[in-house]
Amino acid sequence: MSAVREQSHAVFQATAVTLANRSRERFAVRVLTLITTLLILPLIAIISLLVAKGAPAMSLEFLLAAPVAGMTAGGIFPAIVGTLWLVGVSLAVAAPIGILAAVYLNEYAGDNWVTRIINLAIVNLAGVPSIVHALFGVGAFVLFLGMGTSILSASLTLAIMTLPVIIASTKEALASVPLAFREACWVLGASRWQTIRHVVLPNSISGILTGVILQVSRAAGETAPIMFTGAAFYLPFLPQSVYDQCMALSMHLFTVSTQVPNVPEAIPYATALVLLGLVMSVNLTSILFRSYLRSRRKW
Amino acid sequence: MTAMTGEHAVEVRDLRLSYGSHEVLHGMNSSFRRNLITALIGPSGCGKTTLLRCFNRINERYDGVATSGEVLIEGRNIYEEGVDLIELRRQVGMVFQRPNPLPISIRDNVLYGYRLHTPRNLRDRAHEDQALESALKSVLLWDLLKDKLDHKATELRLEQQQKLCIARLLPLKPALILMDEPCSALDPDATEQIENLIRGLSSEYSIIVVTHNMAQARRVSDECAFMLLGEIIEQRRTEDLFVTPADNRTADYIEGRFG
Repeated sequence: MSAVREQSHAVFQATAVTLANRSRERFAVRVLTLITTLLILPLIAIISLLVAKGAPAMSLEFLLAAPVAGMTAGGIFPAIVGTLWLVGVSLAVAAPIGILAAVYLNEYAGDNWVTRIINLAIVNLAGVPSIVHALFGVGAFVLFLGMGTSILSASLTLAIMTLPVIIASTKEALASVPLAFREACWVLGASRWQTIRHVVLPNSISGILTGVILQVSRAAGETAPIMFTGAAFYLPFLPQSVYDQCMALSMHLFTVSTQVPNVPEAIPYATALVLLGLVMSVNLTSILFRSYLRSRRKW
Repeated sequence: MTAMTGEHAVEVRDLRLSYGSHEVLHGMNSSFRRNLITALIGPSGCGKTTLLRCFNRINERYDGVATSGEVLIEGRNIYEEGVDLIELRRQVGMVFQRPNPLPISIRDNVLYGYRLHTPRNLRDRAHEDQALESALKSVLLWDLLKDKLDHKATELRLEQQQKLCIARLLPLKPALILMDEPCSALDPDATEQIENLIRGLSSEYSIIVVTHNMAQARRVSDECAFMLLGEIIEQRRTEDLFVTPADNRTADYIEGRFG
């Protein structure tokens, strides 16, 4: 009895080993926290730099007027409109094709060498540098299919570039639908298509849309693929159809930063700020939309 | 469809099944009687779930299965060419371990299978209401749920979900109902409710239940088949199998010496 009581003094007391472990633990947590916190610094730095340097040029006129005086004054309205065209048309092409391909790959395709080659091709397509996409776009759309340098050529080039990522994110969203839901359909005699339409798509739509919308920022930001295929340095008019060329924010940023002399410093910064603002507001919308859809589902 | 002849709902002839190069069922022969509850018991990995999944061929939806031999349901070999899997699954219902109602309303859940197999122009509200009511009454949920048929089924209590999963099979008038450990996710109270329900359904339906719970097999089934390593060792009236097992391995298993 007394032996037990004597021992109970030492029981549950930290020993030298546990103390050493605890100090190592504290060190690890501090390092990890620090590194993670540092990650948001670049974002804050970029935004504050853009705001600080771009603010002098920012005005309603800057957003709604065309550039004048050899792009050293005026606004960026045609570039905003052009970017909206390019992003809109490219997603209108890439989203349906990408989603349907992902549905096929995830729901129908068996595990055989054809599927494996297709998946390999998609992964590799995602790894192709954007300048190579640009050259492909010139060869395939501008020249071979005779679309000329136009919104259509540029959008199709962007579509091919975003397609693999849309396929991958859609496949992931489809795969996250619980097997139990599919089984419920199978045992009631639902066909694969009925299962997809009634159960798989409605329960993965938020994930699919998020994946698609995230590609907006990609499409809006790329310069190389649209440079040779449809974006112009300067156009005195707005595009009327997909067969016209257009200006684009990313391209305009490149132009006023490097190609045109005597541009006031604030203009490229303000242009970048608009591009970033556009992309971030689209992303924010998609995040809000996704959380709305998630809140409605109960599993 | 072949006329409903004979006293057997299912006959299995020389059934072999393998996953890749690993054979799980080794030339099995057996038959399961109509309008009775047959329990499949045996230790984990003995192939009882695999066997059950042969009866609606849902095995084939999971990857890499090769099957040979015959399974006759309502007199027709379901592995013969020309058997339509969708029609087969309409007539052979299945209930899983974990209740899996769809994330839609109670009404839509119960009527989901019915609507899949009834052309749009033949559906009407009166028929649907009647099918819904009679299905929910059969599983003793009607009085509880009749005022919240538009609530999401996934919000129900677990045993109510499982009853719903049974109810949604009934409008399809299945020839056979397969149950894969239907109570293993439920507490004892809920288990008792589901067991009573299964007993009640056996007057109208042929039912095969997989269970690893011997007491449950004893409580619920009329006949019992003991499986071991991909073979049926012994299949008899449940009472006989538990009181006077003919095979030593059966005796060892039911007395808890292994498994």
